[in-house]
Amino acid sequence: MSRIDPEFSSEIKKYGAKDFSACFNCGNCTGVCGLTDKNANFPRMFIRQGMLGQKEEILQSKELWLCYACGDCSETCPRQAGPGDYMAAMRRYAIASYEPTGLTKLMFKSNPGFIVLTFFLAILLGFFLFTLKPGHEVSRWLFSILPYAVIHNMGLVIFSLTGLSVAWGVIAMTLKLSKTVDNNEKSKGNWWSSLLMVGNEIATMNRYKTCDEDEDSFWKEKHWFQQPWFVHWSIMWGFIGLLVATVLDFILKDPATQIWWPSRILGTIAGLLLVYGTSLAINYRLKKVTKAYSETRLADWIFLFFLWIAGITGFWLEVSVALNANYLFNHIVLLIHTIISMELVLLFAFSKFAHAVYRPLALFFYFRKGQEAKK
Amino acid sequence: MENKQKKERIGVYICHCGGNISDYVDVAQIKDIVKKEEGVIVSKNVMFACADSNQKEMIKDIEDEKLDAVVVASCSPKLHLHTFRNVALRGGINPYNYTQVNIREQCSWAHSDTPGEATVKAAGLIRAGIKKVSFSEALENIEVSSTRAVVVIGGGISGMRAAIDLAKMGNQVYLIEKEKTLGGHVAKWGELYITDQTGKDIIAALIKDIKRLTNITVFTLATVEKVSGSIGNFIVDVKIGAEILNLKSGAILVTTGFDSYIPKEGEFGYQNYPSVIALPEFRELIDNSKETLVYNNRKVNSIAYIYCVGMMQTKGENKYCSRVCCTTAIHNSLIVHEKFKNIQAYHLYRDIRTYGKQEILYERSSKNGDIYLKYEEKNPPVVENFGNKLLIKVKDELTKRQDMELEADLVVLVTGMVPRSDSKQVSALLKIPIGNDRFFNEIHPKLRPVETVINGVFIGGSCQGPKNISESVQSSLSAAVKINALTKNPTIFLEPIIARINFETCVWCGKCAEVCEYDAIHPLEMYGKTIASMNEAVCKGCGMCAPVCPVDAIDMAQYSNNEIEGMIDGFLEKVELETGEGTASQGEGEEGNTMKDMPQIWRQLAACLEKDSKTIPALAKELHLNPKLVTYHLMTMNKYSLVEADGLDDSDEYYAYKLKNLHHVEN
Amino acid sequence: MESKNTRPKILVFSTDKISDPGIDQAGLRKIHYSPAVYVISLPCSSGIKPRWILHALKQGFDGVFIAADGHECSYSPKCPELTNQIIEESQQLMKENGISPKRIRMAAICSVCAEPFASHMANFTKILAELE
Ligand SMILES: Cc1cc2nc3c(=O)[nH]c(=O)nc-3n(C[C@H](O)[C@H](O)[C@H](O)COP(=O)(O)OP(=O)(O)OC[C@H]3O[C@@H](n4cnc5c(N)ncnc54)[C@H](O)[C@@H]3O)c2cc1C
Ligand code: SF4
Ligand code: SF4
Ligand code: SF4
Ligand code: SF4
Repeated sequence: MSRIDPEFSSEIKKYGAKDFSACFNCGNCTGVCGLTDKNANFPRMFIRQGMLGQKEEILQSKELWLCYACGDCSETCPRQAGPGDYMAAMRRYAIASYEPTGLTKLMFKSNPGFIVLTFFLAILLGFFLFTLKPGHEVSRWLFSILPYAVIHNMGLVIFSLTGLSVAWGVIAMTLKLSKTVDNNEKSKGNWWSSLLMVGNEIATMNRYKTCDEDEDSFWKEKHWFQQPWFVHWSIMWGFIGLLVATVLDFILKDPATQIWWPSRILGTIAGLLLVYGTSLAINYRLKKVTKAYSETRLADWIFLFFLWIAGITGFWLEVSVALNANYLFNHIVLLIHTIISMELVLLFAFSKFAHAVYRPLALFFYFRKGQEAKK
Repeated sequence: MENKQKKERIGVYICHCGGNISDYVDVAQIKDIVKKEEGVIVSKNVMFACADSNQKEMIKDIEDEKLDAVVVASCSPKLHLHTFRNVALRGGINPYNYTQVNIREQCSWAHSDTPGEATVKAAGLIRAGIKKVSFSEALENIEVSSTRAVVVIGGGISGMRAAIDLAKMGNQVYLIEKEKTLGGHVAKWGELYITDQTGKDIIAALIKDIKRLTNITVFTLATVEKVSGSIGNFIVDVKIGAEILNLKSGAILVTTGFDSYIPKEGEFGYQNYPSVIALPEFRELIDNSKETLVYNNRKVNSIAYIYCVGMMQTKGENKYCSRVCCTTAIHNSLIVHEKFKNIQAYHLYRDIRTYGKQEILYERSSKNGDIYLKYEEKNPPVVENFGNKLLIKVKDELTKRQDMELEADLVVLVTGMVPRSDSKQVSALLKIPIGNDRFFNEIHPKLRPVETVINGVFIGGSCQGPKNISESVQSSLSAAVKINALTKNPTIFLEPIIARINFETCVWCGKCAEVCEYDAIHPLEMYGKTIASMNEAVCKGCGMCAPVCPVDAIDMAQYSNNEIEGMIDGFLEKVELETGEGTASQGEGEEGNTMKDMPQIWRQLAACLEKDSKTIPALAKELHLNPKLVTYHLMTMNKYSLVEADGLDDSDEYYAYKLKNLHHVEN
Repeated sequence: MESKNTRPKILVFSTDKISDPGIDQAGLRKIHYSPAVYVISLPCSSGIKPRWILHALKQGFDGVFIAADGHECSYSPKCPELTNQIIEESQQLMKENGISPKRIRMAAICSVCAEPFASHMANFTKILAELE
């Protein structure tokens, strides 16, 4: 027996689901979505659960994360209930609920809150960085402005804080999701194969591709490198690439001089991919090419914009380092790059960015459920 | 009755119907067989019997050959009986000395698989037609004089609106209402869908119109006691207080409306909990409340509507959907949102039937945040007490059939429409048939939607079945127009197909009178004995009385013993076909068609299509013909399955056609 | 086409407004049934006289089929009951004349009952053929 909670609707509206109460349960959205199957019944069922206030059902679901927000469903909905946006909003709700600090809630639910928070953080970081500037300019100026140890220490603090939140969120999600995993031993996919499938999905975006395959879809006419899945793929791999490159830089201690160092090459390619992906995504959102790209929240804008800035400034610095240029302008660019990157990392656990951990986790549980693995 | 003068100069026309008949029935042979029949003077084959040219030829034959009866063997009488009855009339023959034989729907088409036997059957059918027509009697339409007055029973919106139109068209109207005031259900309500005018305003405006029209007389607190007479001359006895008036009228319109279903005690907690109320009570509650919705001295913050109460019962007696209640409940819920803020509504429904424009209301209601839950008849919601609220438990079909529960301050039972409690009495007074749903029944829902089988008695509005206001008024106004078409003529003509009683054999046992649904038969003293007498204007010609007469004294016009038994003999007479094998000339037992009877142009077209398929423009070019002409003939050939479409041409613009079923093309 | 001598002859009584249009439908849609079926259409099945049925069976018909309106009859709700009475009376007459009561049958045929009519005819034809 489940008690209906009509208040929940107004709560989720704050996460960006505007029109879902118009839904009359026709199920067209579920019908057109290429990612639904007999185990994954969305978006209609989620709208239903939202309407009736079944919070637990939502937080316990893996299916929420199977949706890539392609927007096919919103295009088809006869009541203009925006099921695709609704799914995105529910993921925001879920992220905010798994994450323990309440920062995510604040950022998703209130735009002023979000702006103030990022701004405050930027100033703080900037100030922090400036006070650390010892003031000598030698050939290895880069590390003289920001002593290696400072970056290292600051990074550690930030990473551990963020990491803690992420870990908390992951555990929270794992606990919720495992409640709904089928207990029937036979129907379970095994650990290893499920992990492989998650890896495969991250590498190829095969599931995402099915979204754009619709006969009369807008994307069918477009080249693969213009399609949403590839945009997503380049942003993701661009970011991962940069992260790996940075980490390698740290490990190799003395990295930055040689442009042909593998870690530098990786960094360059990854940066290009990131800039390409984010530019396209920003462009699509500005032009509102499809329904999926037409509802952009402030959080999305800031996220995309930060990634883009981080990419562009990073690339600029690459070039100036290669040319050994040392102007004030470059110092400012470096400052911006560092602040933005740090903000990205810092906000990771508290923004849309967190889907990078939640989605693979949910996919893993979904594949574990088994039926999909056997297909 | 046995030795009626038989017809001696009969004309028989056997139709090809283009090929619809002649493709399967050897009409030429039949023509020769028929010619030898007793009494047949003319026997002809015609290409299209209904064509103007043939009608003229028939009239000429009737005059030249002094025919006294006509038979056309062609399509179903449902199509052309009246056409040919008219032809007979124009030629100077009584229309009832005409018989139509159906050799298309019930012969050539039904037996296109066995053309030989179809020919034998067609011969039998036509012979039967000849026998029937030879015994047929000339009949005159029954004439009744008519009073230009109409009694309208029931002064709801349907009756009022019809009364106004009938009066404007020049009829004296008597509007009879059993309550103290006019207006029926609508009179007491506020805003109504779909225009948002209030019920009170609409009724007030109609009352003003009625007062202005001097030829409407309104009787309130009045009931109908007795109805006698028949179309054109009904006498309606109306009781007002202790007084009884006899109103004379040409026709009667019944607009007695509906009752709302009253839930049984305990049905969804009705009467067990004071906060469970039915839809009409709720409507009054919201109409009478201002600013806050208060019920039982408590402010209402949440309402649960339970739909289909008393309706769509698989087992119960109300199997139908009342089709007004969904929209009404949703509309009321919208009024609630508008009038009183912050009320949460739950709709527990089985199916939402907000057809047509009403769908907009449903959409608006969802957007308001109303929550819809779908239950199945076999799992009805359960209403329980819950502190000073109610708790409703329901298995929601839309959420994986989960058991859900919700709290509400008020439960509204969305009840549908049921027939008036006194509708049985009204039906008995006027002899209006009652349908399975127990509402009044029209003759045919599609073709004659406001007439009843009782001549001169019409039904309109929601006494006929659940209807919203606009549908109610639509039907009562269409009845008004039908009635006026009747009453505006001083004389009314009725079909003479009625029962006739043989006074010599009748011994007045009363069995016929007993069985007659319409009270058409009464005893009469005549020739020194009591016999049954027939009210011609009342008899519907069903024939029920005929088989029950122990002395076989009743015969139906057009269906007398002679006619029917003659037909039976006609069917059974032996048919000798010349070729022995029926229409063996029609190919080799295959589904083939011969071209010999086909127009030249068909043969040309067929020759062109013999090698490969072609489009219409290509054919037109090849044959130097107008493409329109080619289209016409090719389409006709298509209809007769001589050609068929063969896919689009390369440009995707035209269909190509190819030959079908055509094995022998003889040029 | 030898079969035509052996096909049992069936007389059908139909009704003008409901079952006869149903039988027309069968033709319209070229749903075939035995060509030894002959139809007489009346206003209502409750107006069939038993003497007609007896006449038909005596003169050479092998069976009589009543395509009634059932509860759809627009004249009277008593129609099915009255029609039944007619059948019973006819069967009495048939018995007196040594005719099997199986040679009469009734079913409700609606105005779009094309297939049901054809299958009734096929069945009845089979039954009558077996009676011989
Ligand atoms: C709660 C509710 C809300 C509704 N809201 C709407 C709406 O917003 N919009 C809409 O389009 N429809 C609405 N409807 C439907 C609407 O009420 C009907 O369509 C309409 O009343 C039908 O009118 P009527 O004249 O046929 O019948 P009625 O209104 O029933 O009138 C029949 C009249 O005949 C009289 N009568 C009955 N028997 C006799 C007799 N034997 N002798 C003399 N007089 C007799 C009665 O006293 C009555 O005055 C609603 C219905 C309900 C139940
Ligand atoms: S398509 Fe729209 S209305 Fe239909 S179920 Fe999905 S969201 Fe609801
Ligand atoms: S947005 Fe796309 S992936 Fe998500 S539910 Fe809709 S159709 Fe499916
Ligand atoms: S209109 Fe709606 S509430 Fe009324 S009976 Fe039909 S389905 Fe049920
Ligand atoms: S034919 Fe019908 S209506 Fe006429 S008298 Fe006989 S039973 Fe009555």
